[in-house]
Parts: sequence; structure tokens; C-alpha cells
Amino acid sequence: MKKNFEKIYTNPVFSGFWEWNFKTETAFISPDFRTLFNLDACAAIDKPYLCSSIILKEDEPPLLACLEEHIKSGGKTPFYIKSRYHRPDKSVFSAVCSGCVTEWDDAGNPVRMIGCHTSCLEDSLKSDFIIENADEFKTVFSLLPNLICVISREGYFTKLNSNWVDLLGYEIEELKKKPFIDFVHIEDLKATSEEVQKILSGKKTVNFINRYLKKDGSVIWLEWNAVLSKNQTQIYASARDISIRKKFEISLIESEKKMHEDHEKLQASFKEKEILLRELYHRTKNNMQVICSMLLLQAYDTDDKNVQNILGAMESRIHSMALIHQKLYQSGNLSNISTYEYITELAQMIAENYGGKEKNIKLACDIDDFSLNIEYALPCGLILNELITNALKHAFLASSSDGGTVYLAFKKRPEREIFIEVRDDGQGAIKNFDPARNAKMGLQIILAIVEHQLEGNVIFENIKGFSCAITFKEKDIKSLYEIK
Amino acid sequence: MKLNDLKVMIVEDEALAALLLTKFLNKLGCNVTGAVANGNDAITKADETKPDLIFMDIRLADEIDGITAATAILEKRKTNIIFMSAYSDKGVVEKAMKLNPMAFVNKPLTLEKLKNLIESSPLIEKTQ
Repeated sequence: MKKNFEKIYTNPVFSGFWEWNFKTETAFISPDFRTLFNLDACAAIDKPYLCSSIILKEDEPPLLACLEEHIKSGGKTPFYIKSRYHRPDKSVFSAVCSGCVTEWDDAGNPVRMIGCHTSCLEDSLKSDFIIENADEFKTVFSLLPNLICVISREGYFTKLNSNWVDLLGYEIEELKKKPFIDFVHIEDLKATSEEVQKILSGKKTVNFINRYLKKDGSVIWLEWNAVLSKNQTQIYASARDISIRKKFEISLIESEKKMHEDHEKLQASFKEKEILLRELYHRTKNNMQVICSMLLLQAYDTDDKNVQNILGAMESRIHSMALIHQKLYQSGNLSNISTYEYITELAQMIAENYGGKEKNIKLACDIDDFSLNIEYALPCGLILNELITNALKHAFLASSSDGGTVYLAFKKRPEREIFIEVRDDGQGAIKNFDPARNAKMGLQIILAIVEHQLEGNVIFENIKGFSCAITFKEKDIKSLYEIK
Repeated sequence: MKLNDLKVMIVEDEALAALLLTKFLNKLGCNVTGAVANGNDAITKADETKPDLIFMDIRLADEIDGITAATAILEKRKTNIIFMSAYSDKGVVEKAMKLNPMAFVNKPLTLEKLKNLIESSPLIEKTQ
């Protein structure tokens, strides 16, 4: 006897899960993905969200537009779109592609994305597959990998396929005895009850996810499609085990969370080190200031002009170094200072201390503003201190009120060359000035720093005043920690 | 007013700098009424000793800086302030200048610098 059985959904709903890395352009795809598209194990898939080799050409632009919207919105607009694909046998089927970007770079560009393609129920229903008799139905039914069931309006299983026994470990009778909700994970009870109410009101459930408890107490993740029967007395439902996918998703989320936590810890550690370094610079500056005060007190305590001059010169040198530490802890960058700010302040301070204004001596500065590492800033500060002090003390006759000008240049030239010049229009040094024989302590310090430490050149000129020009090349600075 | 009639108060948190300034001012003949290390003491001491001139360091060790202390002192009584700072930044100078101080000087102060400052001050000139 031929019975006209209802068309049933024989092509089980498959979801192919994937992950795509935008930066490395590498993909991970689950075995189900290949099953969904009937692809060989070795068939190559580029950009799994697109599947450009099998998607219908006219469906490609809307999919890409949908993805662009998702990315533009920073993930707020869902990436969810139905597209059509070719199978190797040339047949066409529809699948819903959904996904979301799970990792972004600092510029807001996507780094990683996870998603899945799910075959469409409606599409499968277009199939002409008609069950001819009860035996055929039973055979087909038994082959389905899904959990199939019928649930009464009262909430009890009335029919279940054998997969329930295999997957959950309960016998069919055990499952029928209790309301189906008793097998649902406690955290999913509310969502499941709400979903059932939706089905009972006539809405179809597609891809609803909840957790069930197995007989051994372990948890299984299920994804459901369900619909109310025509006479509204029972619910037809089909579920598939997505535990592997969920496990993968959870581990992804956890690893993301851990990455975020590690990043936070690293940031906190950087902040702490920055505070410590600022504190250290501050204390160094304060200690240098105390040394300066001690030198000045000592100078005050003696009537010997020579001793006073020596102590004053020492104080000035230490002060030029203290100023750098002051600039370092005030700057955003803890290893570099602004040359313009530092040198201008240093020059003005020296001019003030050596009575530049009273002697009518002008300072003409031409200073390039760039960021200079402390390893260069300290020697440059000491050099400038010596040269400016020298000019203010010796270039102009103390008896004359005519004054003069001290020219100061600090320039950055191509190929990281730094040029320093301090020139005056004063009386000049002694005739036939020879730095090797005539240089006093201040100029000796300059020669030692430039030639020994900076590996640069010093040129003294004794024409129309005295000048000193220094050139050296800035090199990459290794931190003391790296050198160790 | 003669130099030795000039009552001067020092507000400086660095002990040696305060000692040096006291020595310089004494040498110039000023009457140093006291040297304090923080803003709160400066406000109290200024009330007690009523100085004609206050040397006020901008950066002080406690929560009240030199500008705040000077503002509080000037609210109670008119006096002359000379602000001192080891390292002046533009913002700080601008803030200090709003109080119309007698001068804003960079530290360290030398005896020569201090002498010029005191001798050229209107406080001395007016009475000489």
C-alpha cells in the first residue's frame, strides 16, 4: 500500500565552521565545512567566508558588502547573509554565512574572524525526495545523524530516534518519563522555555543553541531547528551535536580573554616602571641640587677668589646635568629631551649667573629642535656649559661696558650629524692659541668629551673673537640593560 | 627704608639653599626674620612676623606650592614677593606673574645677583 508520506527534511542541517586570519590570510575549516560543500579533503578553500570558487558570482557582491558593513561598524552590524553555492556536481544550494570579527588591531582593522556556513532548511525542502513507504521512512530516519524528536504540548518527548540513546546515554523510556526540560542545563532553562513559547505561538526555531545533560553528568551542546505541527498539538524538532564547535569557540574566547589580561598586566608593569624612572630622575635632580648648594655654601665660606671661581664652575657643570634630569622627568619620553627647550634654558641660566646682562653681552641662539637621547644630551650640556661660560668670563673686557654677542648654534645635519658652535665677537684668545698647550680645564673637558666619548671633531678659531665648532655623529643608543 | 630695616622671610624646602640665602641676605645687611620649608608654615610665619619681602620658592615639598602660599599671604596682607625657581617653565612663570611679584629669579642665586636685586628694588629706593 502506497502512503503519501509528508515530505520530510532528509538532508540534515550542516554547519561548516571556520576561522580566517586577515593578516596572515590563513584559514582553519572544520570537517563539516567540507561535508557541507561536498568538497574533497584536499580541495583548497581561500577566504572561507566567501568561498569565491563556488559562490554564485551574483551573490558575491552582497556578501562582501555585508562583511564590509560588519567591519565598518566595528562588529556591531551582524555579518549574516544567505548565498548560493555550486556543488561539484553543478547543483546549486543555499547556505547562510554568519560570523564575527573576534580580534582587531590598534588601527581598528580586523585580524581574526570566526564564522560558519549553515545549509538552509527551506532550500532542502525544495527537494523532491518523497518517502514512498514505512520501511523506506524507517531506513532513512535511522540514517540521520541528528537527534530527531517529537514533543507534546505538555513538554514530554513522545517520539525519539535512536541517536538520543547513543548521544545522551539514556534509554528512550527514561527520556520519555520526565519533561524534556529536566534534561536541559540549568543555565539554559529560561532561554529554552522562551524558545518553546515562541514555537507554540507558531514561530519556527532555527539554529537555537542550548546545553543538555548526559546520563553521565557531562554536558552536550545542541543546535536546534523546530516547528509546531499543523494541528498545533506537538513540536517536531531536530538537533545536532555542536559540542566540538562550542569547545573551539570557548577556547578561542578564553585565549582572547587571557591575551587581554596579559596585555593589561604588561601595561600596568610599563606604567609602574615609568613611575619609578621618573621618581629616579627627580631624586637624581634633587641630589644634584643639594650638591650645587653645598658648593655655593663652600664658595661663600672663603675669601679666596680663585677657590670661589673653581667652586662656581663646578656648581655650573652639575647644574647643567641636573637640568637634563629635570627635563627628562617632565617629558613624555623618559630617555630623550627637546634640544630647543633644554639648550635655551641652559644658555639663559649661564648668562644670568655670569652677569651677561650687567656686562651687556647678548646671546644669539640658532637651535634646531629635535629629540636627543640622554646619552648625548648630558655631554652636549657639559660642552655648552663650558663654552658659554668661557665666552661670558673671558671674551669681553671686564672694564668695558661695550659688551658683545655670544653666538650659539646647535644643528642637526644630514646623516645624523650634530653640529655645535659657540662663537663670540670679543677679544679672542692669546696669540698663537694652541689647544694642546693652552687649553685650561674647561677646554680640556670639551676635548675629552668630543674626541673620547662622542668620537667627533673640535675646531677652535681665534679670528675676530674666539670660536669652537664641534661635529659628531649620533648613533643608535643601546640601553644599559641591553649592553649587560 | 634702610637695608637693615628690611624684614625678609625665606620660604625654601631645600635646607642648604635656605642656609645659603640666609647667609647672603645677612651679609647684605637684611634682617632675615625666618626661613621656613613649606607653604603652611610660610602663611603662619608671614602672619606673625609681617615681613617686607618674601623670597618664595615655587616648588615646595608639601602639598601647597609657592604660588598658592603667596596667594594666601597676599590675601591677608600686602607684601613684596620674589619668586625663585631652579627651573622655570612658561606656564609656572605666567601663573606667578599674575600675583604681580617684585621679581621672578632663577636659582641658584649668587651674592652678586642678590645684591643687584635688593639694591635696585623700589623698597629701598623709596626711602633712601
